[in-house]
This record gives sequence, C-alpha cells and structure tokens, in this order.
Amino acid sequence: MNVMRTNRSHERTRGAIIVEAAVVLPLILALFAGFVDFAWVLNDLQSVRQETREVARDAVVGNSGATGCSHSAGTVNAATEGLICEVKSRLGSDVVVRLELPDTGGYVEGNAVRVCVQKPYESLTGVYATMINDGAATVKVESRIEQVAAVAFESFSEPPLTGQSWGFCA
Amino acid sequence: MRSDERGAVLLIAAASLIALLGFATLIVDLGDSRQLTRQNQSVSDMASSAAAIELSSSASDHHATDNAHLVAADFVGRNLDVSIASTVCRTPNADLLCYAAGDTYVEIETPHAGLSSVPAYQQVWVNVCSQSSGFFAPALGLAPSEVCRDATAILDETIVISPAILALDPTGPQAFHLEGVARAVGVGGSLVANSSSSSGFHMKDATSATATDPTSCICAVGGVSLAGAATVSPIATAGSMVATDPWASLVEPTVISSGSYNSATKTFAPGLHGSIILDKPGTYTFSPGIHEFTGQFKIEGAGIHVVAENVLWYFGPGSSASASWASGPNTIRVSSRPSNEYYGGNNGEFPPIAILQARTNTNAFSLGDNVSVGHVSASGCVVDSSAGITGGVYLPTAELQVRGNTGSGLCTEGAPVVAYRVQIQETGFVQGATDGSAGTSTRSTRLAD
Repeated sequence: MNVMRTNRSHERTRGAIIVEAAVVLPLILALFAGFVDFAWVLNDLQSVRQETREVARDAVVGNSGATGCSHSAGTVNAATEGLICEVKSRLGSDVVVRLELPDTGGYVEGNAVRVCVQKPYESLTGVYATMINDGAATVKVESRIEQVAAVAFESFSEPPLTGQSWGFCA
Repeated sequence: MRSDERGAVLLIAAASLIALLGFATLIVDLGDSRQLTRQNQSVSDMASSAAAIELSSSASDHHATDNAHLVAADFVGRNLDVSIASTVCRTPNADLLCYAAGDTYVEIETPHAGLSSVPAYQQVWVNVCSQSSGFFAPALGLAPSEVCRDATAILDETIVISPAILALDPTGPQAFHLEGVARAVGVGGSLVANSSSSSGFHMKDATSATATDPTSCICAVGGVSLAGAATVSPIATAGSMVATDPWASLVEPTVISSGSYNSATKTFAPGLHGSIILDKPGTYTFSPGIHEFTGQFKIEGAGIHVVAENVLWYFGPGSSASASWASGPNTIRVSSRPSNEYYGGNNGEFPPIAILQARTNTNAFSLGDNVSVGHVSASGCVVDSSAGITGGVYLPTAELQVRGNTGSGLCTEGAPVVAYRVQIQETGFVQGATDGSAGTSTRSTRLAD
C-alpha cells in the first residue's frame, strides 16, 4: 500500500518538475540568447570602430590596399578602390563605406578625411533576429591628412544599408 | 513531493531569474560603458594626431601650440558631432586648455610656446571624458559614471640642420657662449651647439643671437641657457639633432715648399711660414695659394690691412701655430681657393674653406679689439674686397675667441664658421653663413603607446 502511494507521488513530482521547467527554461534560454547576441553586437561595433580607425589612418598617410573587390561605389580611381577593398577585406563584404573630404580644397595635407562605415547587425542565436537584424553598427571617424597619397583619394559613397541612411556621416 | 512543495521550482527559478536579470543589466551597462570608452579613445587619438600635424605643418614656428590646441578641439567636435566651447579646467595648469559640450569634457595639453625647454619631439595630450549613464543604472538609482580616455601624439622630427655657426664640442658646458653685448648672426642657416650639456648654448647680459632664416634654429643638442637680457630670434630650441660637421671628412693639405716674404711689396708667397708678426702699418698681401703657418700669425699693430685673395690660410699641426689679431684699427680680407681644386696629397675635392686649423692644433683662434674681418654695423656685417672672409672658417679642435669693440668682428659669406667652441665676448661679433645647402626636416606623427 505504502509503496504504491510513493510511486504515484514520484510520478506527480516528475510531472510537476517538467511543467515548471517548461515554464522556466525558455526564459533562461532567452536570457542566455540575449547575452550571446548582445555580446555579438557589441563585438561587431568594436570591430567596425577599430577597422574604421585603421582605414582612416591609411587614408591620412596615403596608404591603400589591393583593388579588385566587389563594391557599389561606382567608378573610382585605384587608390580609392584600394581603401574600399581594405574595409571589406577586414570587415566582410556586407559592409558599406563612405569617404568624404569635408574641407575646402579637398584632399590636401592638413584637411580632414571622414570615413563612415555601416555593418549590419546579426543575431547569432536567431532568437532576437527580428529586433537585431534591422540594425547596423555605424561608425564615423574624422582624421587629418598628414601625408597625401601619390594618387589622390576621391570622395565616394556606397548606397546605405536597407533601412539605414548616411545621416550620421554629416 | 508533498503538496506544499509544489511551485518550489518556480520560486527558485524566479529568484534565479531576478539574479540573472541583475547580471544582465550589469553586463549591458558595462558594455555600454566599454563602448563609450572605445569611442573616447578613438576621438582622443584622432584629435591628438591632428594637433601634432599642426605642429608639424608650422614650419616657421616649431612651437605653434596655440593652433594645435584649436585643431585638437576641432577634431574632438568633428568626431563626436558636438560643438565644443572653451571652459574652465577642473585642474588648472598653464599648459592646459579645456573644452566642454554637454556631458563631454576635454583637456588638451601642449608644451608652452617660446620656452627653451620645449623638447624637439613635441607632444600633444588629449583627454576626452563622457558621462556613461547606462540603460538600467538610472532605474536602479545609480549615478552616471564618467569615462575618460586619453592619447598622446608625438611629432617625430628628423632635421638635418644647415649650420651657419657651429660649435662642435659634444659635451662641454657653454660650448657656444655669448656675454657682454656680443652678437652672433647666422645668414641663411642655424646657430648650433652640438654639446649635450644643459648649458651647451649659453647667453647672458645683453647679447643677441639671430638666424636670419626663420626656419633655421638657435639650437643645442643639450640645453639652451639664457640669462639677463639675452635675446634670440627665432626662439631657441633645446634637444635638437646633432648638426653634421660639414667638413668632418676633410683631408688636411700637405705643404712642402717654403713661403717667402717680399718686404718691398709687403707680399707673402704661398708655402710654409714660421711666425708672422705684423706690427707696422701698411697693406700686406698674401698671394694666391696655400699658406701654412707653423708659428704664430700675430697682428698687434695699428693701421694694418691684410688682403689675401684666393688662398687657404692653414694653421698647421705645429704646436704654436695660432692666430692672435688685435690692436688696430686693422682690416683683414681673406677669400678661399676655388672649391673644385684638388690639393696635393688629397683624395677629394677641397671645400671652400679660407681659414683652416689642423685637427692636432688646439690653440685658440683669437680676435681682439679693433680688428675688422668684415664691416660690422648695428644691422649686420658686410664682406667686401677690403674686409671679411669669403669661404669658411674651420677650427675643428680649437676655440674661436672673439672680443673687440664696436665695428669689429669676424664675418663669412658663402660658408659657415665651424669651431670646437665659440666664445664671443664684450662687443664681439661673429657672422656665419651657409654654403647654400638648405637644412631639411622630415616630420611625422605617431601615437604614444
């Protein structure tokens, strides 16, 4: 008699744990996914910031990388395309780039170079994809030209990412 | 499970979730703070680099610190998309200027303009601070914290100085020294002490040192020490690069034949001369060629005029060979041999030196009162066919001593004065020039680690 009651009690307990776990586990998983996605987004932002700085530095000392990458900046000279390709080789082909020469006189020593980059955020876990995937890491760096390149860099702009604009690059 | 234990998992999970949410908010806010830190670091880097470039581009004033401040502030504003304005510094400092915009506070420090202690490798320090309020911290009643990041940009300079007057002594104090109302002028070139001593270039009393070319310097490898009413133009620079001895590889000439003197015409033929003492008035001529002095060349009379065109006066290795010119009024005119001439025994082209002292001869080259080796006036010095030196003066191991009174002094054109030490006293005047080769400067900026 007692044995039967105990067995039944265990079954009820097991069921209760499963039900309670079913309620709690998604919350914990959602929280965990949030940690992962947040860290992923933050990492993206840091990477974009770092690489934008690197490219801005190259622009102000007259360096540029190899040409031949796929981009949507239209027709630009080889030095300028080298800059675009440098960004894409460092951050991936899904980034878009814009380079501006905001000061009068354009690409001359002492003037500024403004480099802006957009990289789409991506939810690594997929849990927050609808919230994250519409956003983008946007970074603007403005640096001063120290030494001009043999071939002057030109202003260019790729089209902004869907749902984004270059407003932050003004 | 007893009936009163049901829901315990939910309770525990709820408690755990609250703790996890707490951690989550902490992580999010720390992430935000970290992101702000990186942003401020980037802004500091860009602003300090831009300011260092400003120092670099101001060739006429190596210490254009005012502009550097403004440029740094401008680039902080450009990168943060804010319009920043000058504000009072939290920690007042004579070298510090501060700016603010909203919750952003910026400190910019550059060396003081015009100080002789400003190092050659100038630095610009920028510190950018922003308030990190976080997303969740305000809800928890936590006050915003301030995130500051700083950067130091260094202006590297590689300057090849073209000296007009150069003191070669590498370590001695006061290697280039002026006192009384002495003057030193560099025409188209710099006045340089290669001494690493903190007083390598030393001036006191009412002396003056001038480099006519504003891109040239009054500089010393060690320090520039100014006392009394001493004036320099442009400003003095300590910690400069060592100026290259333009004639370091010079092979000294070998003179074999004896020189002679024609008393009727008061003319010296080239060759070896023992001691020469000119103490009677008249015009003495040195014929073209190399004149090597093995003893003293002394001028101690009055009304003595010496003309030596197309010569090299060589104070040879003899222990007593030296120049001591005073009394007067006397005038001395010397011009060098053609610079493309090959001297016997030399392997290369001889430079345009008019007066040379052997490296083994450390006797001082002394110029006293009333001797005009150039027509000295308040505005400078003129070299012509009656006074002055066309060509260089090279005393690699000897001291150049110039005293004298108003109107007397030693002036060169077309080449510098290079001596181991340069000592100008009383009303002494020395004017050197460059050989036409311009100094060069290569500058670049970098961020300090």
